Amino acid sequence: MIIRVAVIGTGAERDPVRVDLPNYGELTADPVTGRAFVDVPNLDVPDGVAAFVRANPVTDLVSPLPGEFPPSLARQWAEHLARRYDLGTAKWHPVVA
Amino acid sequence: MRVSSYAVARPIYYDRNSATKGKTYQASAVAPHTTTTRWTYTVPTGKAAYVEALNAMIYRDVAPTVVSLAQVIIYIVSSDAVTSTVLQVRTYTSATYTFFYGSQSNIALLKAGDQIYANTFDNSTGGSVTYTVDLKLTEFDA
Repeated sequence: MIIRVAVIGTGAERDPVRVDLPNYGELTADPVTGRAFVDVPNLDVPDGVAAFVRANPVTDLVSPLPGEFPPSLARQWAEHLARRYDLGTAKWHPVVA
Repeated sequence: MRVSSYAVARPIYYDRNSATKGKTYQASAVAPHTTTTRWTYTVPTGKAAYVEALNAMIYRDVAPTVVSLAQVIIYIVSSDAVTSTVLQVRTYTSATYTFFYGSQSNIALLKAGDQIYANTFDNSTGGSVTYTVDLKLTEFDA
């Protein structure tokens, strides 16, 4: 599904500007707002996060989110990715932004 | 009396719940930027992946005022943090619509936790570049 998320990284060779997800494709990004629209496999998005994204639609990289992304959903997403990709180590901490 | 073995050969990889996965980044008129990851793929737990095709192409669509390096680089980071560059396409020309291509096929077998990244970079001042970076792989039960 398509999600607007925060980017991380300094842009250095070993710390590229990127999205904190194990599996995504960038559709468009804005280095000023620090946001990107990315295409994420549905299997990587827990139901709660998917419901939040559907309930808080955004159409550009500038407008604020209609609702705040709850820390509980951020934790849920990180734990979901840890189970699916790296044997329990919470390496990725994506945030809907 | 007939004697037979109960041993059954394991199915070949593409018959083990295989799924085709692809990544693509295609963007025109991209301004100079620091190193940016355009897509990444990580092999999920319990799976493996065979990378069958990579493709990259860049060209300048608007000449820079000060030319410097622009590039696409694709690299693998194994689950134990070994990095291997598998494709790199660079330009150091200010000429527009001069195309630079690179491709690789059947290059890597990835295990769970291995990652493949596609980064772009343009250190010029002004101008813009068009990028295409594609991946095709088959993911299957390890």
